[in-house]
Amino acid sequence: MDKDKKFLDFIASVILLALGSYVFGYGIFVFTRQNTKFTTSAGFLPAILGGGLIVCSLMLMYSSLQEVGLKKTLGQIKVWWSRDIIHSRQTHNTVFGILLMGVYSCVMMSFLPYWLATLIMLLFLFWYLHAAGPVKSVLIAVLTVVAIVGVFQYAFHVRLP
Amino acid sequence: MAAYVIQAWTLLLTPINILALVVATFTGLVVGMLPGLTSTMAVALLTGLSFGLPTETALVILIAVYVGAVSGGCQSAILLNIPGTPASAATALDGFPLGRAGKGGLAIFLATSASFCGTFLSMILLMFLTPLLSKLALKFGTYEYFMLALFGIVICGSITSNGHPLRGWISGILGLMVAMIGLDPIASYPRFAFGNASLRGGIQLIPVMIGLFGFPELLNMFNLDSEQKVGQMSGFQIKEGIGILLKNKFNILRSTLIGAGVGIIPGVGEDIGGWLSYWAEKSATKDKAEKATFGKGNVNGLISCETGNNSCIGGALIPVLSLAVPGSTSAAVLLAAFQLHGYRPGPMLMSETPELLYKLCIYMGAASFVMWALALLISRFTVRVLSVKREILMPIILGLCVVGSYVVRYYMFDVTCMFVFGIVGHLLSKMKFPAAPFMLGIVLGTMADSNLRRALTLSKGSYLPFFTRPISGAFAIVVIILVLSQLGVFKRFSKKTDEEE
Repeated sequence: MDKDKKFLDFIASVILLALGSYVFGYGIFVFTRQNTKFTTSAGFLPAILGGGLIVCSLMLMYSSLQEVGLKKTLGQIKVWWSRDIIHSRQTHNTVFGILLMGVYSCVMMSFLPYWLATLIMLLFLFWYLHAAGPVKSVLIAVLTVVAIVGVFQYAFHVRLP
Repeated sequence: MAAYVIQAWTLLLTPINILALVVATFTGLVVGMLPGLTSTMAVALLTGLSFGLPTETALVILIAVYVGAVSGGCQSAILLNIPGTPASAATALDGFPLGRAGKGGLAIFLATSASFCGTFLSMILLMFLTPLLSKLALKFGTYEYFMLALFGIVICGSITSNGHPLRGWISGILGLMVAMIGLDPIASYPRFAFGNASLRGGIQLIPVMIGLFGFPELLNMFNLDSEQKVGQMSGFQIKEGIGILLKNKFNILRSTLIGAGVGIIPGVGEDIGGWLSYWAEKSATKDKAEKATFGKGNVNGLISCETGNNSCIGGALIPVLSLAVPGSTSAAVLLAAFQLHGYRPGPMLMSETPELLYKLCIYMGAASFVMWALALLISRFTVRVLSVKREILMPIILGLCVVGSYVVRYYMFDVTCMFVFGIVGHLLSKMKFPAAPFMLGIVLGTMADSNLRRALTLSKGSYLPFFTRPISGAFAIVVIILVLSQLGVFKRFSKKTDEEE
């Protein structure tokens, strides 16, 4: 990562440090719950991994601050947050995409049959991404759903969600 | 051996399996051509989708799609300057200048033929090296298996992290952590389950792989802003192509050995095989004037990287079959697929189900031939395939990702997993953390956990046998040297010595 993006390593290291500490603590907690030696308990490897992640994230943090310093890094993060996250169209699009894919794969799939959820998703995405004209979009979406359901459910007897 | 080979041929030469071979190879080629769709994603999707099929047909499909997808990437690299798969990244260096110079047809012929040679020769290596490595693997005990897992994560993290090994190792540790979710393999203690029954069952590899490798590309569809101009195909003299290939026989042989060797290293895949073979060919070129043409349309460079990346296919399957350790991300999915279809890859494979090795070799050999023929046949239409708008393609892939994740267990939790790990994959890619060690961590996590604890039980808590047993000790030395060298300890030491002198 180039020098200007070292602050991303700093952010990652802080998150990883928190995660490593949690996993390390969890490993110890599991060990205390089991009546066994530490080296044979179910918490042994999680504790080692947590410890390893703490060490690695500290090294990452050190390398990210080595050339730039904490004060400048915090300043860079502030600018990045405002410019590349809050006011970035690309980030908005990505978050919207994640939400859309989450709604489709976790919400719609739980309530609607696969063919209907997929048809709605395809039609919406074709419209949103300006993929094709209305008639072509509907045609592609319907043919896709028919093909997937036809091939998997009827030809290969694979149960769909 | 001959009996197994004949049996494999008999199984392959049924109408349904031949059809599956052709269709899957074609699908693989198309997937490989389309930027954003990787061989790993294709194999992961088809693992789920072919789950309900007879085992033989499913095996044919998986191997054929793997071979096709790794090979297909060269076409978009040559015509578009965008590698269809990461494996073809090095191909674009010399392939695109050749395409731009009006030699697109010749470049595709050379790349496809090199891919065929790489796959076929690595198939021979797979056939003969797997039994040898299986014999060695029989000497592995709990200590060795743990050290092997550790070695895999460390080396994969070092090689795939683009010069930032720390990120690779962190990615590997995160993968190992994910593998800890669910009942522990020795005492069945529920770890990281938080009272959730689905989490108790653990995380399935296929949905994670689909999310990890497919989701970041799917998310890119929301940020497409430029139309890609596709180059044009051109005719060529087949005699000229064959002449160039014959001149490159040593290049092909060397690249095959490099690619297969890279494939054997856990988690290190086709892209590294391609780059290393390219680098070796460039280094081996003595003529300065010719050396200067690398990156500007050198056919030797093109042949080396395509042979190298395809020979990883056979190489990556060697540790899968002999040690149950995947040599690449796609091979990790294949490992899961073999297990889903009732096979138990590992040291006992050659005594329990040796026919699997020969089946895979035959299917791979046949797939490489079909790939070669199909790739040359469809190369005229490649421009059209590459012109398919990604805004149309990606939503369809999203629909298939859901099916691929769901059908492994018919469980909606797996679809949620695909989504969650998709976000993880996106974050990893944005933060420049390699996904391959993460995946390898998930695959090797259970093996590392159970073997570490068993080993410590056997040694009554002593860590000494990890270093005193020959194979385990060798792994330990390599791991220590690798970690120290990647952290620059040796460089600092030699610098200090120089200054003192």
